[in-house]
Amino acid sequence: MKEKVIIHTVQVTKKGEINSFQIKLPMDAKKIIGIESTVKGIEGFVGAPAGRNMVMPGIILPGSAMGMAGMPFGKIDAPFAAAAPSGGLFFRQTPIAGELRLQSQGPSNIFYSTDVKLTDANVGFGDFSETPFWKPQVFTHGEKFMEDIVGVDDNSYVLSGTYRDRFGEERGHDFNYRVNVYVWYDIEK
Amino acid sequence: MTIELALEYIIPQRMEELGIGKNYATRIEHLVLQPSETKIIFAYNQFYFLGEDADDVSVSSETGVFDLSFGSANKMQYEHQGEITIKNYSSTINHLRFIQVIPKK
Repeated sequence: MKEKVIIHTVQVTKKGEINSFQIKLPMDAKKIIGIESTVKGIEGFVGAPAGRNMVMPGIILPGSAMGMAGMPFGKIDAPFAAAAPSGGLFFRQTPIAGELRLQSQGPSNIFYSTDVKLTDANVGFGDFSETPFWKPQVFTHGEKFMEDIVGVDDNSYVLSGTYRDRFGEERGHDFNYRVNVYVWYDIEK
Repeated sequence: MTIELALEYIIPQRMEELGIGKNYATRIEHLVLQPSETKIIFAYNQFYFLGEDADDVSVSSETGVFDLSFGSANKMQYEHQGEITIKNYSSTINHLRFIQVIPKK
């Protein structure tokens, strides 16, 4: 068996857009083994101050400076609080671009459903090596990109997909961006 | 989509594709929607086929959306499953006809 990948790009232009699409697989595809999805063209908007839910600090230690300043933070439980020598641990909301679902024409039916994430907002969580000059980023701490493992051998050569925009919908603006869907499959040599 | 087309052609073919074969039951679900009503149908392990092009109604589920007034979709979906949300946009009573397909063991 040999692995191959096919890429399908979904172009999103409107807030709340629901984009239905089909991914055509070659006839020598024996089994779908993995799915990946990435977002391109929207990076500059992440973390921008405008809009609700852009980056939402969700949890902070009780009694810390920002907590006392009246920010709408929740409280963190004691076991986690004890692990915070610097007085603050932030969970940030990982920004979601939208929802992706894939459906096979065979018995597997809807076999894949995910939130397409823009980035991992908590990649440096609990990492106290952060300084004013250096901050953990996805490219320093991120794990190696791996596909989500699936096993679909329906002998169906057309996948139906639906992508539902959440990024623009939550912010009330139209955003142009692309979602790349990677379908990994086995072929027989 | 018409109910005749769905019953005679679309549903048997889809059930065959899904491996269900002829082991399924069908029901006509004629919903009466009150003005501005939102209804949620839990159709896990079931299929709802829309039997008509309904106006002033939105039907959305995991597989897509059917809403003739929704401009941000590139396709309308007639086959729904999972959690189906139905909204009546009209200020009067509206009717919606589905064919419910229930697979059997």
